[in-house]
Amino acid sequence: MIQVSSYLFLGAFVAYLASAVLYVTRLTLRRRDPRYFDLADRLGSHGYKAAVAGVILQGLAIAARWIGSGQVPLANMFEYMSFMGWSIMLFFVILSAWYKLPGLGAFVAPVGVVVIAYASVFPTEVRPLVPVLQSVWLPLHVSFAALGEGAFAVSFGAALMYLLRVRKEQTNQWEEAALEFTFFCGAILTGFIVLALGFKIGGYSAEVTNLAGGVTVLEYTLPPFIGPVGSVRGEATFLGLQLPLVHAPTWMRGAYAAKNLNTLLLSTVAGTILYGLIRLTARVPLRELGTRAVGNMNPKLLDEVSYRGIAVGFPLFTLGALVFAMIWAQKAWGRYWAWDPKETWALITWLFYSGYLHMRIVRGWEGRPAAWVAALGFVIVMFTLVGVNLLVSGMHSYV
Amino acid sequence: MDEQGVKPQKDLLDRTWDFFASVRVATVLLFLLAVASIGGTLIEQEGMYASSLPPEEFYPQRYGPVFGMLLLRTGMTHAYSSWWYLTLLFMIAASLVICSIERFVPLWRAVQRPNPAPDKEFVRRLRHGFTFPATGDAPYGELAAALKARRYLVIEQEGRLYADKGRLGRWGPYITHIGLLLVLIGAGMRALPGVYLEQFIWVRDGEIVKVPGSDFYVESLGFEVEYYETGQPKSYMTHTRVIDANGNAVKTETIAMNEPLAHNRVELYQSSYYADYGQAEIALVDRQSGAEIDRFTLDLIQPDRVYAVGGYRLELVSYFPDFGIDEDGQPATRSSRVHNPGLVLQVTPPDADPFTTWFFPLYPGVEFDDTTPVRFVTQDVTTVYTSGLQVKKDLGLPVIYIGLLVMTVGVFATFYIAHRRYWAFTEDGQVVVGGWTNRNQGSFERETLQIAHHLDPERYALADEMEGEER
Amino acid sequence: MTRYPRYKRVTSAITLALAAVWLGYLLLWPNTNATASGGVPVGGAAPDFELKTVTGESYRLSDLKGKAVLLNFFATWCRYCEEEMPVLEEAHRLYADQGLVVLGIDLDETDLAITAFQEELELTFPILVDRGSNVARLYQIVPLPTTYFIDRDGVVRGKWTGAITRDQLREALELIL
Repeated sequence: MIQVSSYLFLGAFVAYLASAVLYVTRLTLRRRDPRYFDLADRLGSHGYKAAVAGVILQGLAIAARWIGSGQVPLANMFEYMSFMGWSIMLFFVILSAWYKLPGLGAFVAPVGVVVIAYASVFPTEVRPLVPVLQSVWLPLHVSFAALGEGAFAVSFGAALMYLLRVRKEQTNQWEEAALEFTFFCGAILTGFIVLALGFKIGGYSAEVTNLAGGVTVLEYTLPPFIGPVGSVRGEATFLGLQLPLVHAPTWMRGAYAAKNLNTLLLSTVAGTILYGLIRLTARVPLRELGTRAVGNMNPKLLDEVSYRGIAVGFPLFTLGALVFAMIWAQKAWGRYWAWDPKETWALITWLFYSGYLHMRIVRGWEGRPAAWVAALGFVIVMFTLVGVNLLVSGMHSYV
Repeated sequence: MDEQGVKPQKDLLDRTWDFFASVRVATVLLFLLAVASIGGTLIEQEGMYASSLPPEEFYPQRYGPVFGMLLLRTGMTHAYSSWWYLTLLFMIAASLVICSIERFVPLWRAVQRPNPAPDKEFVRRLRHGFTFPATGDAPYGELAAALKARRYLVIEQEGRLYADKGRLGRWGPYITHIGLLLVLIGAGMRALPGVYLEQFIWVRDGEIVKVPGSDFYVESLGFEVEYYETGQPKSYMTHTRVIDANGNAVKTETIAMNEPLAHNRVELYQSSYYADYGQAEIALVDRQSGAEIDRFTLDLIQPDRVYAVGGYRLELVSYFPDFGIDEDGQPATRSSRVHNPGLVLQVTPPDADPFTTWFFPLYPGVEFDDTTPVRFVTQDVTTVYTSGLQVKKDLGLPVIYIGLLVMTVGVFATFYIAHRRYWAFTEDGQVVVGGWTNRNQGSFERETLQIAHHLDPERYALADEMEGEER
Repeated sequence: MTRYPRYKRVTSAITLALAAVWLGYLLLWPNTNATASGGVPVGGAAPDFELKTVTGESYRLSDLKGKAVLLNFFATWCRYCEEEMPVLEEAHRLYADQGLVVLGIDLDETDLAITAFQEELELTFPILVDRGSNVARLYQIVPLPTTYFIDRDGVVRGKWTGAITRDQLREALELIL
């Protein structure tokens, strides 16, 4: 059953990828020549069908994994991130049905693909649940939070499109730089996924001595260019290179700090190369490419889709990430709120989106400022999911 | 608050009201609170760091003398109970209350006491609308029926029609605010005496412990760990009996992760455990022949002073539950836990002089003197668990739960229920209908179109869809 | 001059009053976190407990209302605890008829160790065994020995950490006798 689930999952991934490619091709064709409009629209509708197929396949994959393992498949990072990818695509499918805005697919489907690919970086095997996770609140807390975050991701895509659409109206150096930086970050994330998946498929692993934190041997899945304090050059090799080349700075005391720094460095290098290649091929900044892709879509509609994503996601997120989380924490530890870093970051996310919702009714703050907040909100979501785990460990050490 | 303000006719009270009634201020406060929450997740908080040093020493050591001191002075080391965080929370609460009151009265009038006969021009200029021919003496009959079928509340008055649904959606934000206030109040209640209790107790298997801050006792009937086949722990539980102040057993219940025991508003949570060595089964063996003389059971947690084993008299001279050597080179116990028990025994054989010997039940092979006529061999050592239970009482909890429920209802009402309203009047043989909604314009447009199509199929066709891109 | 309606002005006034109280609190109690780590505060009620001696006699603090209570948390392996024991024993003999109850609280050791300690130092005041050190946690005992002085109403009047001398003890007892 688990095997079936992984085939279904792979099928879903292929479908999402196809959907993303179809949508991007569609936009490119439309930009080229009005004669291709019909062809482009057919591609768009195929893209939508592929997305729907992917959502169904992944839904089945989740069900199969649930039946096969006998436990809710929402208990580790792979399961969580893939569920979140699923909810992104689910909300994309729903919002697309509402708004007839196929252009959205070219921006949201790739985000879904990236999140699913990111999920695949983590170990996929089923692990039995530790005692604290054996609760009905686990699926409730996790699934609602992930659904909310999926809707936020769609909102992010739409907000980005809105910003790209309106950027010519009023040029602002900072906004321009921020947009370009957003694309650069996207490239780094893609670079990370390419590296991580590549080395995972290639089966690379290296072990180096570690004197920081409580872990004596640090296992790397990427070549350890930066080693922890205590590692010796030549403990690992990559393409004949004697690694690690340097130590992590001593003030980084976390047991995994060196590994994370190494990953960050390699991802940045890969991302920069990727970014440079696109930039050289296109001969324009990526934001310009984005603006061209958005073309003359209705900015009001984009803004509304972005708002709608948050309007749909906010109640789900409130319920999943705060209400259910608090009830569960009370049941498990007798403290509904413990200021655990991840918990606090969920609160920060919630406050941030609350701020966004209030901004929408303040004159002068709707429009671009609000769109920036909507985009930044999802960055905070991603930081909560990824960054907090790198920085600190708390109650959420298992996810 | 100098008197050179822009509006000198307003005094302090009016201006306080203006300040907190402003959505702009509320928005800024929300973002400020979000930013203020970040620091505490990056700086290790008091009581959370893994060190036994007091804060005044820990922070300068961990973050450097200047920065560490700065953290201590600004309260960053206990960010979520610092003066600035609590001040922000207080301001948010004030903003919640005042913003809600400010908008309550106008909203009450608009939503609950709607004007069914507004200016005709107002109706005509609404974004959504249609007209259809008025027939007979009940021109609104069919429209009212169609709206009622869609669960609208229909009012016909003064030759006008008014219909609306989803009023709750308009109240959603205020319901959310009330829920949030309840959560803040519930959390703040712990500052009152007697409302909040947080304690921790260790209960060894078979022991009875008074639960601090309450009038009952808890007896452990045994702690238990279950394992998966892989060896990973599956569950931790303590079988317990609750005993009241008069010594009567009240109930028997098992405390497990996610399944606390509740009694008299005090809750006990499975939180931790440790294992000690309990009963050791020990054989007395003749050193020369290797033959077993007899066996006895030694309670490592609570040893007896004298044992009689096969004619031998064993007197416990000294007992070290956690044997070690102290600074002066003398044998000592490092703690009162049974980690590495060591005994000094005076052995009196039935037919010889007494002698004194050391014995380490976990390491029977370690002997300071291997010339004694008998030696001890440990056959078996049992494990005794001590379960760590978190003791909690929080009378604010019901308030928190109600607050969370109200808040949930509020946010879902806000975003999932749209307030939709129609006004209609007759003019020149036509019924003019205007519609308004506070959200989901597209869906409302479709509904309006469907109603229009139902009333006048020829004029309103059902094909039109919202198109996002130009062709 | 137009003013806002009364309900608005009253709400504003309450808000400002609460803000003033909060401000006053911040200014007058600058170290709000200090009490958190200080254990049971002097002037506060002594937390109730019930413990048994080695021989099974049960003592409950709330039953001792009307008597002055000296609580001494110790362990037999702690040298300073051993040093001050004669002083406590003397106090027990001298002031028992004035209503002083001296209670030793041992931090979870074997009966054997406690009995030996008691016999060796010839202690006659009751020694209670704190299984699991739950009462010590309740009183937030960090260094041993720690002595609490509780008056006849069950209020903590003094706390002493480390070995206490005869003179220091006499001074502290004046607070509760």
